Order: sequence, then structure tokens, then C-alpha cells
Amino acid sequence: MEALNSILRPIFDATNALMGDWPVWLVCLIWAIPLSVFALWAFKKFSNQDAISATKDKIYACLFEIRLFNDDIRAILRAQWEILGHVLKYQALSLKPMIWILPPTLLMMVHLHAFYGFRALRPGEEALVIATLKAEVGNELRLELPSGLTAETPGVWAPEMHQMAWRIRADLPGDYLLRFRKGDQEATKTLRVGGRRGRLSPERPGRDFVAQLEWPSEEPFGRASFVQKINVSYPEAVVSFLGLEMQSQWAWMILFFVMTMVIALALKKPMGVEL
Amino acid sequence: MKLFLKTTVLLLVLMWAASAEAYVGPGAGFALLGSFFVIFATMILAGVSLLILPFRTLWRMLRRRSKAKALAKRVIVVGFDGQDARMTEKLMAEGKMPNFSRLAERGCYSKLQTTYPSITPVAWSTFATGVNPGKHNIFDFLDRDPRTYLPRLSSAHIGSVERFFKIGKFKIPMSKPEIRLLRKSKAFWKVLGEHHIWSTILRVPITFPPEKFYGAQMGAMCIPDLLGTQGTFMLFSTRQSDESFQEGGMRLPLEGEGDHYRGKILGPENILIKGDPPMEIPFELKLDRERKKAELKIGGDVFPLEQGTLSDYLKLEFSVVPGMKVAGLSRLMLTEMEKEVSLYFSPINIEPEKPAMPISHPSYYSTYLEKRIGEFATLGLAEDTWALNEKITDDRAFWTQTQDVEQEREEMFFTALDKLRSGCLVTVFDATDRVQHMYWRYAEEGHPAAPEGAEDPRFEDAIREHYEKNDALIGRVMDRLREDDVLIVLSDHGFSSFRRGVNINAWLLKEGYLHLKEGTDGSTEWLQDVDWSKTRAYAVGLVGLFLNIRGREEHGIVEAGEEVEALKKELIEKLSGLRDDEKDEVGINEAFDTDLTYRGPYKGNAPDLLLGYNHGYRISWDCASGKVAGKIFEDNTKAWSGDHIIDPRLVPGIFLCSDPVDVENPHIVDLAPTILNLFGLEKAPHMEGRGLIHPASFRRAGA
Repeated sequence: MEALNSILRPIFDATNALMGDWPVWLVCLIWAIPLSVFALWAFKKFSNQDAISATKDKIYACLFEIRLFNDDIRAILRAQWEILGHVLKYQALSLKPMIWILPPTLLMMVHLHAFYGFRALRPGEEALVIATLKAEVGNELRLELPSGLTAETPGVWAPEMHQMAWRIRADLPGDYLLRFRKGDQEATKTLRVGGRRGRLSPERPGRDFVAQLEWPSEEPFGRASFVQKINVSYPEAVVSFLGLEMQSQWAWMILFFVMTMVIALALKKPMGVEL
Repeated sequence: MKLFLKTTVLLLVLMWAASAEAYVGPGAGFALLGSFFVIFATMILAGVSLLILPFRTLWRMLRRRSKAKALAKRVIVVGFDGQDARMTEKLMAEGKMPNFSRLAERGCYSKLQTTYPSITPVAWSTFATGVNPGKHNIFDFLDRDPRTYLPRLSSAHIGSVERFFKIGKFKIPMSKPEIRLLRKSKAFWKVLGEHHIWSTILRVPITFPPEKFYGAQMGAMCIPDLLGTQGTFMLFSTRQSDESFQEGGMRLPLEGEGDHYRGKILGPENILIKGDPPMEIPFELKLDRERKKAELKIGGDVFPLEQGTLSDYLKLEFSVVPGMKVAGLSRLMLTEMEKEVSLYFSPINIEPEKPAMPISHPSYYSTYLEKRIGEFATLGLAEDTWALNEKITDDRAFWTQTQDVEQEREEMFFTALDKLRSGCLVTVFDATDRVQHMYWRYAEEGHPAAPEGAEDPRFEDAIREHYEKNDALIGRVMDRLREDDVLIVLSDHGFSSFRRGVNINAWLLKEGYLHLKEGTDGSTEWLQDVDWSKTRAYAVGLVGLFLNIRGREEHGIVEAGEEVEALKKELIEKLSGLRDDEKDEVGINEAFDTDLTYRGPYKGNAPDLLLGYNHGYRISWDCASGKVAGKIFEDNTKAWSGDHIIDPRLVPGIFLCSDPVDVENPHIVDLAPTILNLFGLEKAPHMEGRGLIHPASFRRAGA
């Protein structure tokens, strides 16, 4: 995963650098097109299109039956039961192409999430920095902040979670490196204040595969590191679309989801795909 | 087990992946969202149905008419068009139709008297309505327009749009074309519906356009193809020929050379464009002569073909205007691919999923059937007899087509049977009629249309084989019968040989009843050579002849009243017992005066005389297409070698019932009242037939 992320990071960094501060909806649209085309291609290639078509036909037939025999409770219930069976079959038929679609989609999404799910701190804003450690270290852990950042509170140790938390304040814009020291051992974490939209890293993960997949912006901590992960609570991004503003780390994803669906719907016939 | 394991693993993978807070992409996203939507929509539909149900039930109770206790919960009627009584009895006696015998033993078997004339549209209309043709207005496949003497479809009127709003080259129709069923009277399923008894009526002839009633109906005979005809095949060929087909076909050019050819599939007229140009679909044909295969390319789609093999359905979409299409289904066959190349397209069936005109009731019923059983033929005469008659296709392709259509019908039937909890299900299977029409020449020694040498010995038993298939079908139906079901099996008429054609117009010419215009020889179709100012009688259609009556026909010369009666008498005397001197046989047994044969308000629309041909005789092909020239009697050498448009007394149908009946010599007109009686209803006042099962004496078979 580490190697894959190190390949993907510069690619996404470069492409997003091109898009600069373009509106999020436009960026979503641009990314949605290749993903939709790929997903449709993969769906066509790796699914049993005839079986999907036949199953959908059966579902439609049952819906017509509910309308046709609307005086007959038993017929209605039987049609519903049959629909449930066909829907399950339809889902099962969709699983195979999902295996092919899911990995690239997932990788694309997690990298895009680093750009569009959060925003950088603004000067004067506060954030929580939480270091999760592998073992109890208590007051042995120290946080060294570069100039431009100020610790608002001393580290608070939560022994049950093996976590040490600080509240910090951003004073000046810039890309910073937070240093965590335990004896002669050191762990670092990036933090961004202000500037253009760019890659953010709300979490620097440990060796956990899922965490590495989910948070690809920084290299994971090594096996020997005393740190399991370090989180920075960036504010959630604000996404504007058609005059609506939504502040949520998932807002861009909803937009992206809708756009891929619309594009897929538009392209499924020209590409001859049965969805 | 393997599938279960795979699914489980996949589900686990996906569930695990969900923690990554990503979604599964548009394709699979559609699958998920679509599934949820379907379940949601189903629940809403079911909920609405359940909420409305008490009100519907109350409404039904308020509207319910009194009726006696029903004798059956389900009445299942299986019709085999043209199944002959003699052949059936012979095969039953030989033990070749054990299920028919079983049904006869359990209930009854009888010959079924048919209508005058013994022809499908007339007989099934009588079956449906329980009245004679004088009341239901169907006398033949074709009627004639008394103003022009030209033939027209007898069962349906398909009008055209007269008013348009024009913008440049585009025309926007201001109304819908009128499509009207010309069959009069009331079908028994409408009567059942009035008593809230459900009926599913599948492919019963003369049900186009469909009528509204409490039930579902898939139309049949007289549903046109996409061109609006009763079935026009297309032959694309590199062969140059100016000859037109006598029946239902078009020659179209196939251009190109080597292994690449091009053509344009002709669609319906585009009434939205000035001048109504026909819609077209260009195609390319790429041959692989070595493997006897080819690829048909339409747009970006490639459709595989094999020489001599009838393809699956090909969906053809004609673009009317951007965003609007009409679709049809055709089956193709590469008939030759050596020096010359020829490609056959069957008539383009109206696509059942999105039909271009109403072909079912409710309108979505054909869509429902398509979703349930897949694509199916909708054309009234779904089997392309004309292409075989014209030797474009062959016996093997026709057999494939006929059996495929029969299979579609069977799937339709059993789907409906499985869904029917109470009510009536009627399905007519046509293949028996088509097989006998086209393969009779194999079964009869010395038939003039018999293939020289054994063309394909497999077809010598085609008719018997098909009867045995019917028997197997009845066996499957009987296996699904419930205790309170009644099964009726019937045919509308029997069958006989068609060895000799009789050109009635040629006979009328010879006898001086018909005259030709000066300088013509009568070889032009549709009676265009006839001098109407001197003609007293003429034949149009398949079953009889008309008198040229003043005030009725545009150029009528025979006075209504005594002159008409005298002429009819004279013609009946001459035609009854008309001999075929060449064969030393009687060609026409009897001519019937329809004024005496029919009762009812529409008998004036009937031919004035019906002709009861002898076994082996029928109206000739030339006469049927309105040609006067030629011999009066001639051999029939076409593949269409069996027929039933003869003296109805010679071709009774069959009647079997799972319960005994009380009446001897049943007639097809008796079926409608019988079905009403089985549901506890009195015979409808307009009906003429007798109930074959009296409620008082009804006992369940075996009880």
C-alpha cells in the first residue's frame, strides 16, 4: 500500500495542482468522467450482461403484475416476494464487476478526499492534535512546534486510549512539520495553515492496511515507531453548488456520486451497457 | 455451494471495504440504488393496492349482478387453429394422442361444427361472441370497398392522420390515426368482465385493436407489421429482377462486391416529414464464404448470420425524428452467398416492449409479456407463409419459425395459467393451421405441389408430429389442472388438401357474368381490367362472390329485388356441383345464399354467395389476387398446399372438455354461452348458441 500511495501521490498532486482553486463541482465533474467511463467499461466487461438484463426484465414483469392483478392480494404478495429474490440475484450479478471497479474507485476517492474533504487551518484557528501511541508513555512524550504555531494547552494524556492530545493555534500561514519526541525517538506530522487548496493529511497512519488506504497523504509510521497514528482535526471543507453551500467532509463525495451517476446514465446507452 | 461461497466472500470484501468510506462507482452504484428503488416502489405499489382494495371490493359488491353458483373456478380454453377432426380421431385411435384420449375419456370428445365459411377470422369471431357472422360482421379475411371494388381488411380499420401542423419540412399530426375493430357484437370475456370475472385472452384471432374489459388480452390475427401490412417480407439480393412477388414480399437491392455488401431496410412511412418518406436503416453485410457465415452491421452493432439458418430476432429501430424511434423485430436468413448474394428479412413485427400501436389490453400487457418471456412475434400471421410460397425461405426455416412462435405462445399460456387464480384463460395456438397449410404436400401422394423427390423426408411426418406436440401440450395442461377447473380444447375448423385452384372470376367471364374492358386480357390484379358497366358478378376475397348491385356498388347494374334473387338462383344452380372436367371431379359442392345462411344486422356486408368447395379444391391464387385471366381449374403448385376454405360440412373442428357435456353435435357458436354458464351466468341475450353443459346436470368428471 505504501508503495502504491507513493506512486499515486505525485500523480494526484500534479493533476490537482493544474486545477488550482477551481470550483469543487467542476473538479468533481472532471474526475467523474473518466471514472464513469471506466466503471461502465468494467461493468460491461466483467458482468453477465444477459443475466442482468433478464433479471431486470423479471423485476419489471413483477412490477407489472402488481399493477395488473391489483385485486388479488396473493398475486401482489407473490410478485413482491419474487421481486425480492430477483433483486438479490441482481445484486449478486453486480458483485463481480464491483470487484474490478472498487479498487481504482477507492484509490481515486481517498486521494481526492485529501484535497476536497477538508480545508487548511486559517491563522487564528485552533485544532486538536492527537497522537495515539503503542504503549503508555505518559509525560515522556513532548510536542515541538515550529514558529507560526502555538500550543494552547499542554498535552493531555488519556490512558485508556493511549492518546496524548494538544490544542494548538495557527498563527501564520505555511506548511509545518510537528515533531513528537519520546526520549531519543522522534515522530513527525505535517500541518497546513492557509495557502491554496492542496493535499491535507488529517491522519498520518501506522502500518494498518485499511488506515494506509484511507489516509494516503503521508508515509505511514514504521514498525519500530512508538506512534500508532497522529491526527489533526482540520475543519471540514465547504462545497458550493448551484448557490447551495454545504460544510461536510462528505459534501464533495455526494456531488461526485451524483455526477458519476448522471454521466453513467448518459453514457450507458452509447457504450451499450446494461446496468 | 460454490456460488454461495463466492457470494459470501464477495460480501465480506465489500463490507470490509465500506469502512474506507468510499462508494462503489456508478455502475454498481446504479445496481444498489436501483435495487433499493425497486423495493421501495414495490412496497409503495403494494401499499397503495392494499389501501384501495377495500374500496374496490365494496364497489364490486355494489355493482355485482346476481348470478348462480359457478360450476368452475377456472375455465381454461386451448384452441388449436385448424386441428382436423378426421386426423385427430385417426391419431387417437392409433394411440398417438394419448392425452387427447385421456381427456375424451374423462369428459368428452366431439366434432365441432364450424361457421360458413370455415375460415379462421369468421370462426373465432363466432367463438368469441356466440353469434353467427350476420351479427359479428366478419365474413372473410378481406372485404371489398363497394366504391372501388378493391379489397380491404375485414376486421380492422386503420385510418390515417388528415390534419397536420407544418413547420418547414416537419409535420406535427393534430390527431391520432383511428384504429377500429370492425368485429361487432360482444365477446364473452366482456360479459364475464361485467360480472367481475377475470379473463386472459391470448392470441385469439380478430382481437386487434384490443377491447377494454376486466382482464388482459394479447391481440392476434390482423395485427399488422411495422409497415402496416399483414406481413411483408424483404429480400435483399444482388440478383436483378423486375418480377414482384404475388404475395407479401418486396425485392430490394443488395449492392457491393466481393465480401462486402450494403442495403437499406425499409421501414414505415415517416408521417412527421413532408412527403412521408419511408424510414430506412442502412446496413452492411460482410461475408465469410468459407465458413458460410456473415456479419450484419447496423450502426455499431454486429449481428451474426449463418447461411440457411433463421436468425434470432433482430431489433430494428427506425429513427422518426431525433429522440423518437419506432422499433420492430425481424428474423433474417442468408439464403445464398455464392456468386449471387441474397438476404431475407421476415416481416417486421411490432416490438411488444414498446409497441408502435395498441396491440394489447391493458396497453402494458405486451410489455409485461415481453419482460416475462422475452421477445415474441406480434404479427397477426406470425409465420411467414408467403416467403415459403415464393420459395425465398425453405421448409426447414419455416418449421423453425413455426415451432419458435408456438413455443413463445406456450410460454405465454403457462405464464398466464400460473397467475390465474380464478376466471377464464383462452389461448389460440396457430401452428397447427400453418403446418397443415404448408406441409400438406408432403403428406398426400400425388399432390401437384409435392416436392420432386424427397426434398426433406423429415417433413413427411410434419403434420402428424405437430398433432403429437399438441397432445403433449394438453398433457402438460392436464397435469396442472385443479379440482375445480374445466378444460376445453377446440379447433375452429378442420383441414383438407388444396390440389386444385378455381378461378371463379374466370368462370364468371366464361359464363358472361363478368366482362373485361376492351383491349385488356384480365391479367391485371385487383380486377382492374373489369368493365363494371357490364359485369353482374365478381369475386373478391377467399370465400364467395358478390353481385354488382345498383345502389350498393359504385357501378352496380343488377337491380335489387327480383333481379338479384333471380341471378343468385341462376348462379347457385350453375355453381353447385361445378365439375373439374380435367380431373373428372366435382370442384364446388354447393353455393350458399348468404341471405338465407346468415341472420343479423350486418349480413348485407357479406358476399352474396358463399362457395362450398369440395375436398382438394379452393379459390385459385390468381382469383384471390383479382386476376380474371387464366384457366378456371388449375393445379396448385405452391407450398401452401392444404386448406380449409371449402364446404364447412367437410371440415369440422374438434371439441374436447374435461367434463361431460349434455348436447350432441356441438357448434362453435355454443362455446361462448357454455363458458358463461360455467361461471354461473345466463347466456347473454345477444348470443345464439346453446350452453353445452347444463348447470342442473353438471357433474364433475369422475365424481
